[in-house]
Amino acid sequence: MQSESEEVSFEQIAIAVGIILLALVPLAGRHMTHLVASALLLSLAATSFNLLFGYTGLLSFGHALFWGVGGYTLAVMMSRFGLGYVESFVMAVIMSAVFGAVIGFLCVRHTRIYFAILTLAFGQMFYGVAVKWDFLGGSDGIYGLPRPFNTLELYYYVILAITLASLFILYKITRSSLGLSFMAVRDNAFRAKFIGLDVSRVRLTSFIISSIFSGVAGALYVLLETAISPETMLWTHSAEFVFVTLLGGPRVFLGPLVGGFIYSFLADVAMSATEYWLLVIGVVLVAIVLFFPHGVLGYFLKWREKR
Amino acid sequence: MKALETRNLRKYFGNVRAVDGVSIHVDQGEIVSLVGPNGAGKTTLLNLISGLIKPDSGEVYLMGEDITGKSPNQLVSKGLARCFQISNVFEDLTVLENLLVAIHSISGTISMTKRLDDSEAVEKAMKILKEFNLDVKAHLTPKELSHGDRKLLDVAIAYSLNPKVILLDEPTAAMSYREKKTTVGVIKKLRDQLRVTVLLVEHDLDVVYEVSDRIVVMHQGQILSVGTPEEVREDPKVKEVYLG
Repeated sequence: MQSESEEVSFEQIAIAVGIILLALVPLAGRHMTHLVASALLLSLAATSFNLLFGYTGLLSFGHALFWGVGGYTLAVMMSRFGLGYVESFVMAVIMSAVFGAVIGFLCVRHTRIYFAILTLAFGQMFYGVAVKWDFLGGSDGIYGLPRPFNTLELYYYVILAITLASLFILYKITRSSLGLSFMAVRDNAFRAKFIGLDVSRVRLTSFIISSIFSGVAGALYVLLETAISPETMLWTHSAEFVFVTLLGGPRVFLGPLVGGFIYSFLADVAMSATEYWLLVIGVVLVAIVLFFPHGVLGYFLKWREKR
Repeated sequence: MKALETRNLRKYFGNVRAVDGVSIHVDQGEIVSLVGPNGAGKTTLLNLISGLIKPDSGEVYLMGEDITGKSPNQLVSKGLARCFQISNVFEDLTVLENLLVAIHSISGTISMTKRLDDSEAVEKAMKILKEFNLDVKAHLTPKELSHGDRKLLDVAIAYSLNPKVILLDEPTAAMSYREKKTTVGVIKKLRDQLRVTVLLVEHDLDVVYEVSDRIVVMHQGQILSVGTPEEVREDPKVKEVYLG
């Protein structure tokens, strides 16, 4: 907290410049618009994942499940029940919260590897359900959904507005007494009990909020792609959230956002350059863990603090 | 009035009778010290009182209310706070935030709409930090504090919970002479100025004799002697246990 006033002014300038650049993205063509829209949604999902990981100290390896729950709910509501965009989106948020509450309730009594394995197992379980259940389109998923406004450019602004609003809410949570209780539980769950905190309840609250915003990202992504497939719930997608967060920095609020953009652009460049693009990503991950354990943004802020 | 009382409290670990029918009480406004050789059952007794472990039998009362078997977080809201043998704080939060989270927790203001640096909570936290001479270190993290200051922070966190009774587990362990003097001052301040009842577990008998109103001596899970510092000092049973 000590250097907050200085950091806020720096952050305010950086955020203002960032928002202006993001607003101008559609001028850079369809490919760039699609790329940045995807990066925004990945960043939102990673930031919500990081509420649980960086702020509450719980590593979920199945968080793509909630991206899938949001996405499938929206797709099902639109394609099977004929609901409109807004109603389907609201249902996606509600279902993400419900899944978050039920799965979170079963997971938060465990920590460390047990928590990670439980979340991984739930993610894989629902991936299996999506592959086998015809109602959800089986292995093909659900496709052919109409995109709002029928143009990518206008829908990009919907994604930008909802992502920025979601990030703002998540930021406010991290600066609230609730966010402080997350960090206290992360730092010392044992002592947290002795200041009157119900540790499981604190963890569950973080889990549900995290699930909701991952679901929001998933629901918006479905309309960007106009389709959803079971792969969105696969563990490799969950690992992307982890990777992106480590890349940007788990102890900085905007770390996953920075990581999300670096990852998306890196993957885009690597994919167009070589079919072994995953190798490039792997090398970057190893380098980050070895040389920048606080992530790119975390490292930058530490460097700035020292100067 | 009895602020804290145990009645025939019992806890066995296999064949080890860690706490074996212990009945003690601490009157409101008193400092009672619990002493005894290693393995006497002092820390187990604190663990039973603070809800960390459940007794095999017996009861614990706080301000006349039966609190046996309640969880630590439930006991905090009833007015029981605890400090630990090894300082137990939130390492990545600042000293101020360590207190803020405790204040928000006890005030029931843990909410996503309540700012963590809410001015009322900050004011209260800074006032407490001043009482413990930690106000100038409010923006440091515990890692940047000396051993003595970390222990003080531990006590300050407990005090910020508006407790009726504080359990202190070896607050002067591994402290320098100067740090011990400061801590002794803080323990007395808890009773004399801040009106908190204290149950103290301590190995340093100089500290114990200086701060205690009464002393309870434990040996092999049972009460060996109870009395004022003078009475306990002269008790032949105590001399035998300590001096052989």
